[in-house]
Parts: sequence; structure tokens; C-alpha cells
Amino acid sequence: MSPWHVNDSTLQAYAAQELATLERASVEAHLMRCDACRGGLARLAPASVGTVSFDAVFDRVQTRIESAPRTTPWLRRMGVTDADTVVVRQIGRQCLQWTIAATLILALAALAATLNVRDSAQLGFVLLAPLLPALGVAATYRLTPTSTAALESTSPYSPARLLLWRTAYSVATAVPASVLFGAVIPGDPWMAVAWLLPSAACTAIVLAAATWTDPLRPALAVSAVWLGVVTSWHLRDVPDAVLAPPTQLVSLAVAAAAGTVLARRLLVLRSPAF
Amino acid sequence: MNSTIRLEDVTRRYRDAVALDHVTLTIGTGVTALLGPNGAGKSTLLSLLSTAAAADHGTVEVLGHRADGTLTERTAIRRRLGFLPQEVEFPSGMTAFGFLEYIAVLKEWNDKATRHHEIRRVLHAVQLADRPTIKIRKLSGGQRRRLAFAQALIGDPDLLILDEPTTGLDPEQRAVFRATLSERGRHGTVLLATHQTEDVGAVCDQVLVLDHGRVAFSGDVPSFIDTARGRVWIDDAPVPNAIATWRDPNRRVRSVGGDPPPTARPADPSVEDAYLLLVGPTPVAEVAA
Repeated sequence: MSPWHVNDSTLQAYAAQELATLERASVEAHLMRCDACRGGLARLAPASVGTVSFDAVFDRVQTRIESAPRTTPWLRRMGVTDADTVVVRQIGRQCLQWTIAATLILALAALAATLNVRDSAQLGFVLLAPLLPALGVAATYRLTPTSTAALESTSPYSPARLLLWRTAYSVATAVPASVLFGAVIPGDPWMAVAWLLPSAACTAIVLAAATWTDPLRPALAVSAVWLGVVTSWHLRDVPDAVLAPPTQLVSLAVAAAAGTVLARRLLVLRSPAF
Repeated sequence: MNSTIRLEDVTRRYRDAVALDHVTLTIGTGVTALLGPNGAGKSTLLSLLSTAAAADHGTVEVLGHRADGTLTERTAIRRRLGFLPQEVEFPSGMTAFGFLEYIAVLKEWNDKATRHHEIRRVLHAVQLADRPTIKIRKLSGGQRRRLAFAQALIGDPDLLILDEPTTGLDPEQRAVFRATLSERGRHGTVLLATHQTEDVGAVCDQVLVLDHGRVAFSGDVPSFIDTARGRVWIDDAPVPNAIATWRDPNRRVRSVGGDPPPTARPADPSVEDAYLLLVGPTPVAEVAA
């Protein structure tokens, strides 16, 4: 045991966390090997020193959480409630890898079209861009862990609201990138937006069908049909067919019909999926 | 007994397999244990009660509402329900606080201040108050199980449905869990599906045993234990034709069922004995040391 001891005033200052860094380190080093001074500290220190209440810890944690930079401040500015922001953040967290992968694949398709690696390279973009929002909806469901999905389906949170937030996420992450990549593809400038109506039709079909069944099934079915359509354009050597008025009108009609079915389903909401 | 749960002639099939076969039962306030071998229909029953699935036939009524009714009816149940699935696979990259906040929003805790206060409360209840910002992947198995239990406690629900909640908990954590359940059972209804028969004796008021999709027993714990009275034996050797035998702490052989020789003396039965006698295996030939 050391013959030297920390005096009471220094111990009091140490207990009150009033010592300078160097002095505090010196006292701590001594306390580690001196039973007498540790005993003195225990007598001098108020009961609250050295313990932290649960509420104090949580207040500190909450402050840290709330002061952390938000990843979605723009949602707040758009009027999305704090609670819905939590849901959107959760969807984004689960689907981040999907979003990155889909954007990369689309970028590659756009790059191939831009470099004109083949005469039909533009069709790759026409094939992918309309499908991404629809596939994204399916991905938001499939990437949710099964048990979390069970908690979602047994919670009072509206399943229709959850479906629409997932759709909003898919559209918001897929559409801007598709428009951007479409704009750089050589050829008709309308190509940048020509895929929007086919995309709306594909997405609306998946959403309407999702009120009956797992969204993956209609997403795959719609993808297969769209693949057939694009392949037939390729075989008939009409790569710009997506720009043609009949394609746009049919897409609009299909989107309107599927949207009507979806609206009616959301009003009834008695399907097994819901 | 006030009935929180009422099933009337309920059948649920999965293709050709019958998971629940014309089940009729009632469950009231307090803690009820749901026992049964794998494939007995426990998980199916829990999924019907938690409104995750609908019955093919019959009536399922939970908290005064039809569990297979309109969305309004199901939502009314869900607002008063806490559900813990058998396994909770947490979304990647989340913190304990983040996960609970997501579930709290799903449970309509829309005001941030009260939501955060509720999250603190349930974290404190499961003794994870010091770990709110840690990533879930860094939590131990027992801590994850407690976190999963915490989400079920959000909103202090009138009905708690828990599927194997004590799996992975150490004895100290299990004691805390039992205390929480006992407290909940005093003013609400807890349905506890478990294979841990010691939990049944410790916290449960009622026992419901399913076997092959049918109700094999429904009643209070003492009545359940009494079904084994006079059928459990202590001796130096296994009782012939016993369905289960093992050594007790005194190194004597405890036999459940069978044909006792004159040297065997009856032992006080336990929940495990009663369960084994009700749905247990065929007689064993050797001592399970």
C-alpha cells in the first residue's frame, strides 16, 4: 500500500468530476492500488455519484437518436408524418440492396444502348425500365423477414397503407433513375418517358393482384408477358414500338382498369393476403 | 371465468392434412399453457388467434371480435394483441430501439414522445434498457429473444400470445420472464405455447393440451397434474412398461406409467408426468440416465 494518500478535498473534487484531466488520471491511478483512498472516496462521494439512473441513460440515448442526421428529412418536408417516416425508413433499410442492384442493372442496359453494342441494345432498356417498379413492390415484400411479416400482418397498421408506402418507395427509387438513363439513350428523346405508361400498367396489375396473393407471383407473370411483348417487337424489327400510340393507349387502358380493381379491393379489404 | 378466446367447432386444413379438427374451447383471464407434441396444431391455433390465418370451418372469437371477420373486426383484435412468433428474424442492420420503434408504429403509436416512452418501458421490462442503440446482430441469443418478447409487450396488450418464449433464456432471465408473465396474467390473458413444462407449473393457471389437432385436455394446472396421480413411481429400477423413466437427484429411478412391482412407491406427479401420460411416447425399455 502506498504511504501517500489523496486528501479529502481532492477526493471530493474527483467525485464531483471537477478535476482536470491530468489530475484525475493521477488520482485514478492511485485509487486503483490504494484501499484506504477507495474507502475514503466511498465515504465522501454522494450516493448518486457513480450510478446513473435508467431515465438519465435513456434521455441521453434519445437525445443522441433524435439529434442524429435523418436520412429522410425530405419526407418530413413533404408532410409525411413521423410515424410513416419510420415505416419508409424500414422499407428502405430492407430494400437497399435491391435498389442498388436494380439501378446498376438499369445503368448497364442504358450503357449498352448508348454504346449501341447491338442494333437491339435499346430493347434491353425498354424491357427493364417498365418492370422495375413492379418488381420493386414484390421485392419489398419478399425481402421482409417472414417473422417480421407476421408481426406486420397481425398489427393494426393498415395493410393498404403498407402496400402503398412500399409502392411509393419502389416508384420513387426506380422512376428517377430510369428517366435519367432513358434520357441518355440515343434515338427518339421521348424514349426517356415513353416507358412510363407501360410501367404504370405493370405496377397497377401487380398491386391489384397483391390484394389476393403474394406480389411475387403477379410480378413474375407481368414480367413474362412484357418480355414476350418486347421480344415480339424485336422479331418484327420495330424497336421503337413502345413509342407508338397504340402501345401507349393500351398501357393507359390497362393501368386504368387495374387501378380501378385495386381501388375497389382496397375498399373491401377482405382478401386472405390482407 | 371471463372468456377472452372462444373457438366453436373450428377446423383448419393444409391440403390433405388436418391441423385442427373440430376444436371447441374457451380461454379466459390468466396465464394458459398450450402444450402438445410437434404437429399437434399449436402453431395453427396461434396463427388463427393472432388473425394471421382464417379457419376453414367454425367460429374463432377473440376479445369479443371475430378473428376471421372483416378487417375492422380483425383490426379491433390486433389493437389489443401482443404476439411473439416462435422465431423472430430481425431485419438486418437494425438497433434494438429501431426495431421496437418500427413495431410500435405498426401498433399505432404515432406520437413520437409517447412512443419513445413506451419503448423505454418495454426495454426496461426485459432488462435491455442499457442496450437500446446496439445493433441487433451484436446481441446474444437470449437478448434477442428478450427483444422479441419486448415487442409483444408494447401497448400493454390485453391478450399476449407467446410461442416458445423461453427458448434460449438462461435461468435468471427465465425467472424475470416468469415474473413478467405472472404480472400480466393478473389483469390480462396470456396464451403460452411451450415445451418447457417447468414454466407451466411456475406461472400458468390453466393448461390446454392439443394432440393430433384435437383438445386432449383443458383445465386448471392442479387438475392436470392429478391426472397422473397414482401413475408415477419411485424405485431402484425402471417400472416395467413405463412410458418414461429417469433418475431423480437421489439416484432413484422415477417411472411414469407402467406396471409397478411391489417395491415401487407412488411419487407426487408433476406437469411433465401428466403431459407424458397424456401424449407421451410408447413404453421404454431402458433407463434414461
